[in-house]
Amino acid sequence: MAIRNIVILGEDDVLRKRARRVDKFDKRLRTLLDDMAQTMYKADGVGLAAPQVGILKRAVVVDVGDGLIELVNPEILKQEGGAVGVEGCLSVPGRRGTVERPERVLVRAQNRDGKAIELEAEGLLAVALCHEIDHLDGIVYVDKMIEDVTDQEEEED
Amino acid sequence: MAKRVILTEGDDALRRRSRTVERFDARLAMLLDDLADTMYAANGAGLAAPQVGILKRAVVVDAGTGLIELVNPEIVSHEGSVIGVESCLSVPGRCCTVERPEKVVVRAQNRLGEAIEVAGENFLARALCHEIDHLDGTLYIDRMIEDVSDRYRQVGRDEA
Repeated sequence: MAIRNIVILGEDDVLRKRARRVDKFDKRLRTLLDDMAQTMYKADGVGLAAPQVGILKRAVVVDVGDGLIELVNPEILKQEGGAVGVEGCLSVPGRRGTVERPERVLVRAQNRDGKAIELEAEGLLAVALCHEIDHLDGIVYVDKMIEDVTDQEEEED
Repeated sequence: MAKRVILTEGDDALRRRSRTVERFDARLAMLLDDLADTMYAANGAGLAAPQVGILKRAVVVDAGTGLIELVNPEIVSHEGSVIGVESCLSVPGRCCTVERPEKVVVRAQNRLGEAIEVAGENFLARALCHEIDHLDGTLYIDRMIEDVSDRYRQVGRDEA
């Protein structure tokens, strides 16, 4: 397990490339997933996609507080509803913005052993899954941002 | 108009102090529209901007008598006190008793920045106090007297 370096938007075009499907469910993939989880937790994030650590593979990790989810080759099969929420991204430090996302999604993916899995998610988990899966296609949340809400800081009194 | 994601307890934005609104612009109008949409969709009686992750001093309330939008609200006077049951869209599945004033007068601004005053009694007074608390990072469970979640099922209009 190791902490990986998180790529910052604008510094490396790897965040703008389409990641490749994972075909080999080997030790390298397991190391990547382990490292991504460790890197996400260390950075206090709720999700991390492989391109964010410079690896163009379709793999993401998410933990919105209910435990770690690892998804390989994830695809959104169904989505429902829509709601605007505030997002940030470990690759876009210091910024926050609102984005419209589905309220519920059904995701099909594989686990680290290559076994097919399906996941139904709503609320923040649905948002996090959409955000991470976007990274696999070179999309960063700022591309979909409705409003930049970076400036909002609490008052000192 | 759009529905926004409601943050739940544990999210840091709910614990921060919101900032005074200085610009009465299209962004504020959109926020107020979205807050009302989100509140009605969730069957709530009130919603504060920090509950959707926006740290601005803006709330919407509808205690059954029509929509009230308040920007930079302040309680300027209160009278009496009543213990009542509250719940919160940001604390799903729970309801608790809280002591609140029986009557309040709130000074605020409308979406155009004009000074307004709203007087509320009973449930409206409770909803106003509950929402204004959110602007200072206070949740009603901080003021809880007793957790009565097992005795009351949440009913739409009691949620704020």
